[in-house]
Amino acid sequence: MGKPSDRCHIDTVDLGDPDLVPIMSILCILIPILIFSFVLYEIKVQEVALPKFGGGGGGGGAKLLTLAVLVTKDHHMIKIQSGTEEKDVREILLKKVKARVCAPTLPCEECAGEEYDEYDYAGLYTQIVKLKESKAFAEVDSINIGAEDGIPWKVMAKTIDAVRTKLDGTDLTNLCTYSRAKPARIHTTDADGRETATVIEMFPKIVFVML
Amino acid sequence: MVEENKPVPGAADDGGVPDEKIQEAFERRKRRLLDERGGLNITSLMDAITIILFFIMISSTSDPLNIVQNARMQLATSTAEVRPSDDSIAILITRRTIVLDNKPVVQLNCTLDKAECTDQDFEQRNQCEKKPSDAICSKEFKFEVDKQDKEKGDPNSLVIEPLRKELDRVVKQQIAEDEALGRKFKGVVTLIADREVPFRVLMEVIYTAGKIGVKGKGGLSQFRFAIMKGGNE
Repeated sequence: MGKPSDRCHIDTVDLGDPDLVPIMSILCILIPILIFSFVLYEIKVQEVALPKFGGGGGGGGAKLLTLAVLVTKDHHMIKIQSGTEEKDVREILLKKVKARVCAPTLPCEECAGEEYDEYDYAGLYTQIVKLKESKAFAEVDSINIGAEDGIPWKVMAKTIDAVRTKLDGTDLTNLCTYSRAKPARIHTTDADGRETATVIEMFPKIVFVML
Repeated sequence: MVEENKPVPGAADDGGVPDEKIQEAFERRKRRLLDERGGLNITSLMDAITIILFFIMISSTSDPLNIVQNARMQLATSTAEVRPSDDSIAILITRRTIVLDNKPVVQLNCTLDKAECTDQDFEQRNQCEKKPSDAICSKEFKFEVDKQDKEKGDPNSLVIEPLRKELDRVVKQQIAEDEALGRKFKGVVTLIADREVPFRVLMEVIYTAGKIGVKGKGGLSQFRFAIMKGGNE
């Protein structure tokens, strides 16, 4: 029989340090899986108003002034209605244009990617800016947007962008320069001295209409 | 030759301490010394990884819309800057189904050249921004809700019956929840639509949702589309 000190220590079961290696392995697998499923893009929302269905009454002689953008398979059409009669309607047609696939790092002049037909969002934007700057639409904040049944949502989203926000830059007639322009902002300072930059909106109220 | 299990000086040789135990104690001491000298300490590494894991898990669940993009679901890009709200009713419109409350409510029929669309077609279509000259990019995908799911079986109707019934249930449930919590029902709908979904289907969903409401409590009146921030940045 050993000494009293040996008896005391030898008979106890020594479990040793816990083996953390398998747990580490699981964690190392779990982290890349979670990162892979992680949302790395920013989700925002675009507001639209309830669609208008069917024609309503004229409204008792009040002057009608509406602006609508209609999207078809091969063009955009801006419809400006200043009255109830046919002669009061003006239309601006914007056909699809040729565009080139371009890496975002390349200057627009050097774009030499594949050529494809694209809606003329730059032309639409330019026309809408002109209309907004005119006296007639200076106070108007809503615009109707309609489309043919088969027009995909991605086209509608870009059309809404072209009419809603004002962009920075002078020559935005080219699709490449247009798509790279940043929204124009107004910088204001609140009572606490904090500076806030607000996007300048041309027609913030988007109303979907059925053709 | 060196003897492996060398007896420890001073150890009792009357069967007191087995050699294996002494060897183990030596190994443990060696490991501890290594750790103290700046070797890899697995415990602190575990701590760091656990913190990272929790951070990732919390971040991934804080997304109110929890959108997973795949071949059938690709968000459109836009310059919009409004943040999505937590208290909206989300309707997911993929290239195959309309999903409400994590439950598929209506199937969407998709045809391409009079044949049913496949996931491979969708994957090829998703590459059109990089390769617009591909034949599939100029073809038209036709998406529609089956006439059996329309109001009175009329293919021209804008009301999608199964969606209307399910929305009615969800809205009533939300109103009851808001009342119990003393909140006002806002009636906000967030449409998480795939970028290829046609205007007609979007209008049918919006029109159906616009019909939902409880007298005196309000209905669904605000419509928002989820988009991926991009484009003019």
